[in-house]
Amino acid sequence: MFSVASFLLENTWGNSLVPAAKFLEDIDKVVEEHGGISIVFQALEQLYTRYKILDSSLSRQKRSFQEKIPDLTNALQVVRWLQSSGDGEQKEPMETTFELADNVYSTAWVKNPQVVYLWLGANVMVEYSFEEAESLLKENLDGARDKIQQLEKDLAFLREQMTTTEVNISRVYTAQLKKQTSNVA
Amino acid sequence: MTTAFSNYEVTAEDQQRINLFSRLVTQKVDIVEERKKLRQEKEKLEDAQLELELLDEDSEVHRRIGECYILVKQAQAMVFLNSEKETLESKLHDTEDKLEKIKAEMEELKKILYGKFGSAINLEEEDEDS
Repeated sequence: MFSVASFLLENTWGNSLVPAAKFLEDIDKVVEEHGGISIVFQALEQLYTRYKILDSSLSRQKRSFQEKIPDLTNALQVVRWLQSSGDGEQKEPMETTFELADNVYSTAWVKNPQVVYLWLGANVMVEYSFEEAESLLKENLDGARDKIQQLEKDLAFLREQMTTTEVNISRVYTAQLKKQTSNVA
Repeated sequence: MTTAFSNYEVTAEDQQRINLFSRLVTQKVDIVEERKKLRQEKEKLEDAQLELELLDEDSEVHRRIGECYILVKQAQAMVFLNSEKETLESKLHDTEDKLEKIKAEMEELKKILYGKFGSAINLEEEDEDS
């Protein structure tokens, strides 16, 4: 997707996903070598747009992982509670209130629970021991957190490339202004 | 007519500083958001604690775990609330620390960048609530 003018990018792709923007050291030279200000301008704008598209796609991915976290922590909390309630040799049934449907709650007595069922999606529910359920949920939670962290790193890198490009654009612009005024004078 | 910016040479090093600054701004926004959430959470817990204290020790309350409610004794609920509050407070503390560090770093960069570019650069955030 980054088929823009290569002179705007570093050769090394430090990050596999995002190509690094080059800081244009000598604007005049770059403009001269690559066919004039308007072409350089266009290339910069194009690069910036690409970055922006990537930015929104990565942000979306991050949000979707973030949305999973509360569900997982809720489930984990219940499993851990079930686990600890078994430890106390407390055999009497526990009264719980659960959501039957939106705004409808019902009461259930849970008697000495041993297993728990996890919803795996696609209409499949599987029976797990508390330990297995806990480790599975924990794994998913850690996985989601890792993914978010990775995405945050990518995003931070991407934002830096965007800033570099923004500064490049404004510097090309000032170079152009300078040239125009010196021509007039 | 020349713009103020054109009188300054932007070096690769300046660019690095500007990049770092923008990275810090993004981080700061995220952390301020997180702190807001934690503070709200803490307020809720404190409200719950207050209500609980008014109840009789033998009375039972519904405690939410995940998506269902479980009937527990008042004393148990108190223990639970206290431990929740402790973890929340330590999280809040970490967030404050991080925020302070970021702010200090930003100040440092501001000094350097304003020192060089003066009014040709703008490093102020639009709305600050910290």
